[in-house]
Amino acid sequence: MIKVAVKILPRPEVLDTQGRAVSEILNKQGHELHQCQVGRYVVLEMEESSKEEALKKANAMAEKVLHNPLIEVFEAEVL
Amino acid sequence: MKKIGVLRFPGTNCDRDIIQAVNESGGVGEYLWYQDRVDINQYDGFILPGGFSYGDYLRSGALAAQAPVMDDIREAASKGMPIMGICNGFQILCEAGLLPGALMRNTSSRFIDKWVNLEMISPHQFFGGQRISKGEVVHFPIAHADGRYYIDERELSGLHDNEQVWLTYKDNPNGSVANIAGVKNKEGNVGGMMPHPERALFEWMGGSEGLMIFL
Amino acid sequence: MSYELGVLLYEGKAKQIYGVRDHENLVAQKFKDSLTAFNAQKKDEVSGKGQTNFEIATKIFKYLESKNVDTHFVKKLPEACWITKKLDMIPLEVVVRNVLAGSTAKKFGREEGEILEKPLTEFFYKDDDLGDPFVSDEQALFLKAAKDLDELHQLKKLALVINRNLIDFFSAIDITLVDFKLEFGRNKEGKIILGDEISPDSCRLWDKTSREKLDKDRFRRDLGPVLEGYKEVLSRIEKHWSHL
Repeated sequence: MIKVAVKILPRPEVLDTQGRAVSEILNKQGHELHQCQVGRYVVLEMEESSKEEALKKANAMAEKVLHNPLIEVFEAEVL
Repeated sequence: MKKIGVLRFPGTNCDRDIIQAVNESGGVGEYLWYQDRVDINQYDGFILPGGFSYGDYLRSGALAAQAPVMDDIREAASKGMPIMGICNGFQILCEAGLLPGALMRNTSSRFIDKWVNLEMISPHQFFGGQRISKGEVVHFPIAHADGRYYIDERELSGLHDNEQVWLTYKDNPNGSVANIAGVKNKEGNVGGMMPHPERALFEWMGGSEGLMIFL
Repeated sequence: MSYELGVLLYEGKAKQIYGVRDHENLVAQKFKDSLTAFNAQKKDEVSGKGQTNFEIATKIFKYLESKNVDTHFVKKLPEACWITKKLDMIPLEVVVRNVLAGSTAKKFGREEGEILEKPLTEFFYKDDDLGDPFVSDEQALFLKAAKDLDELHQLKKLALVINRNLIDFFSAIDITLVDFKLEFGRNKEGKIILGDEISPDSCRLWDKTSREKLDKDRFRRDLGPVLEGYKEVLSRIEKHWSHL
């Protein structure tokens, strides 16, 4: 069994309302930060023989369903 | 009599309103289930109603866009059949790649539920047709959290050049790019809007201009 | 283009229809001063009514044309006369009600003035000898008044579109559109378009605030000078819809 994680984040040029809300709270509490982005973390578990194959499949899933290229970017990595 | 297929996904909740709107305007509305396949030749058009398909999981409309019935909707779209998505239905059509752009959380982060004034920029050839003319202002309710229309600048100018902007907000409630409330595909047969014309059929609802979209 | 009136083809209760020389697809319609009610059992002549009605009806048809509703209207001539397209008339009166009034309120034992949850569309079969009786969809088809159910639905649909537009038209001049009658016909291409006229003769129009009746009910029920009501409607239209 191979696990692949897909991290999805809003594109930097797109307004990230969740990130904005979280950073406002953190700033109010005195934590100084320049920016905060909130995204999604998806873990896929697959029965593949090779890590390369698993990564390829995860990328395909992320391209088609997990992320929307217009507003998000993603990164997949084998765990 | 026009027969309109009305799609239902788990979490769709404006389906009965749409059926009523279609029936009130002299058509026949028929429910279509998201897991079924559809003989598109049996219908004159399709409507994707509002709601919260799949609880808005992943992104609004993202999972519904993958449903089996959407393959038939894609085929209907490519054949030039009229298709309209309202609210969540608009989000689904964008996620399915049948309409340009994406719908994101409102700038205010709040769910907004109110009546808005909308300007008709370019009428849809079927839904509403010439019944509401270019430049006319109509009054429909909106009810959404993810209604901020987003599209990058290059694609936005394409939308304007091809007259793909259907309706715009007179007073932008959600931060949508270029005040866009509804768009169409290049061919003009597929359209989506965030406002709910089916909630504006009769005067006691607060306005009756929505009936024009279905008549 | 100037038009020369031909022979009188038909004389109805409120209009005279003439042919138009060298235009076989057109007719001329002259608005008369006569008023009739209860299937012409009550009659009167009111000098100037024809002209006033004509002005109102013209504005309304021009407004509807601006809203992409096809009408038979072609041109307005000065003497209460229209040039219109010649239509093959569908022998149905299509009535739309937004508020209960008159005989319909009575028929259901309801108060006049009850606002309907949604507009009612009804068909009446045009036949003077029968007194233009109400007909159901099936009865209309039995009488061959329309081709099929689809055509009846199309008539209702057009009536609702016209209703939606007229509600706005009258609302802007503080008038409630209570109910009204439409007649449709087919042009030579077979397309269904709006014929006849829309005027205080064929509508119930109430002042929004005072609920004063400004239409033919003044005559039906002897509620005061008819022409005053019609002229009030016209002056409000001319003030607000001056661009038409």
